[in-house]
Amino acid sequence: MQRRADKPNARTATATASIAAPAAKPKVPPVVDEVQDLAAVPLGRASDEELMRRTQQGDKQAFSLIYERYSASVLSYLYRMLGSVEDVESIGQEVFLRAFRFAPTYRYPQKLSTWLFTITRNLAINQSRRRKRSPVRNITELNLEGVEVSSDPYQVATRATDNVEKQEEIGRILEALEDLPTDQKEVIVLGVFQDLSYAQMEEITGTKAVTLRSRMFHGLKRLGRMMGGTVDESKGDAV
Amino acid sequence: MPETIDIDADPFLKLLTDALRAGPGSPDWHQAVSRLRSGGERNLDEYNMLIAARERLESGRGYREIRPGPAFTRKVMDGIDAEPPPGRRALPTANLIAILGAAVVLVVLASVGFWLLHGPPAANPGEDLSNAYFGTTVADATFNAPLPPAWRTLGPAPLDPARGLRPTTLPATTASSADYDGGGVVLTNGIPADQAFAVEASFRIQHVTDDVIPELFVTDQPDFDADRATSAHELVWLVREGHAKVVLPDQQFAGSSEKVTDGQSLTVRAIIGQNTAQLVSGRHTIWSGPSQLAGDRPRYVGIRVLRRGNEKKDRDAVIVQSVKVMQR
Repeated sequence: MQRRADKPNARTATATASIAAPAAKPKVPPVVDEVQDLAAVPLGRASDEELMRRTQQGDKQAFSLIYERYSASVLSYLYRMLGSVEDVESIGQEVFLRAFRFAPTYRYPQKLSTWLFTITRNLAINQSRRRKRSPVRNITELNLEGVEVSSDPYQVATRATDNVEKQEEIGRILEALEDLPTDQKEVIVLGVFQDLSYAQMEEITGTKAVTLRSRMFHGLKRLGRMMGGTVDESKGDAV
Repeated sequence: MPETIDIDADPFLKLLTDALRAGPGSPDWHQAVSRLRSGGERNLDEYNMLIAARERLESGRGYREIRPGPAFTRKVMDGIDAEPPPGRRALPTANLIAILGAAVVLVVLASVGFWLLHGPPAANPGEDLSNAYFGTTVADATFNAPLPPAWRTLGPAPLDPARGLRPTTLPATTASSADYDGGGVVLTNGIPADQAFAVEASFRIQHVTDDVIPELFVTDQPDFDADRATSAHELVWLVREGHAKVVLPDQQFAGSSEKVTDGQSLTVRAIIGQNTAQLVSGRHTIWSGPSQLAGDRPRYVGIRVLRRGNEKKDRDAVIVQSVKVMQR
């Protein structure tokens, strides 16, 4: 099942506008800017799309809120995919500079997260290609938080549970994640860690949803096999 | 365990992959796990293994989760502050490329449309005529026998057509030494203007002198002058002042010239289209362009020799060895 729950219903919006002005019955339905009604909403509570509309008009404060909402997500994605802190720093900055620079290319009703992760992914791919050509890197400074703890799978596992056995399993599966083929790892990172729907991933990667589902399936299967294929019956339904 | 899966054909696989993405706690997860617990699905072990792997991943969601530090944020915001407002910048490169591409396509379509409506563009003389092949000889003369009937003689200066075309007598005594007399041969029948043709003539220049001027001409007005055997509107190749040259119907020299020396043999080839022409002297194209000949009147091809003075040595200065007219 694909999720496009956030996509607004243009027909409904048009109908609402007509009811609001019963005296004037225009022959041509009025053009309704579906995000315009949100202009009165305080900036901090404005939707991503409204913030982007303001950014397109040159509002840098609106863009700083977008940065606040997405910086951790973008940087974590880059770290998970590239595995290099210095790459994350340089590419992460570039992502937000480009997002601001090319804000006019964003078109509502595309989800901002989809648009932003498309930029992020493209830059990450370019960086991966560059790294293959020149692998020598210099770390100059660390301007990111949480790097030391989060980069070690076993430290993450320790924080996740007190059960030593489980910690070992989690640590191993996170470690195994690094060894997955890039296309399978990407679907897991985008879908599981970044919580993006298949529809969004389809838009970001240009790969059909059915293929992405297949990659998710096989990626997790591979991780399961690396773990020895054990099935934990005691865990059951987590709902 | 199957290596390939057909998600479109199996609704449960679709539900399962939705559950694997959304993770524990989601409605899809609850539904998928319930289905697995009921035991109705094939590959139960495999699916349970997937569920278990996904649960472990959920526990490790903090893996490589990072946040920007103040220094990073400051760098980004400094970069944003340095940027001009996004609405005022030029179009993105991709848009520019798209616009330019669309413009090129429009220009090409407009050109093709214009070409279809108005016919092909005017012929480029160099291209059109130089690529043409003229394989059918319609008239020729080798000047070693009496003149073939396709040709007739011109002008007061008598020429011997049987030993190479050359003057046989001195110029008329009535002419002053500064004036030229002309004699030559011309095709009896004109060639329709819309039929391209080539004329090729071989000359032997024994002795370069302006007292004897060989000419190859194509005219659309075959009313020849009684003294010089010239016409009022003709395209001419000639040797003068030691150089082969081209004179257009408007009496202007055109193109480049080619130096001619004593004892030189020259083959001249003129290719005549309806509106354009090309002159090749020896191995060089010395002129090509609009011929200025009328596009609706027949063309007459001829060889002419102009003479002045009465120097005996000039009698054999120029010998025309052959002329041949060819069509496609």
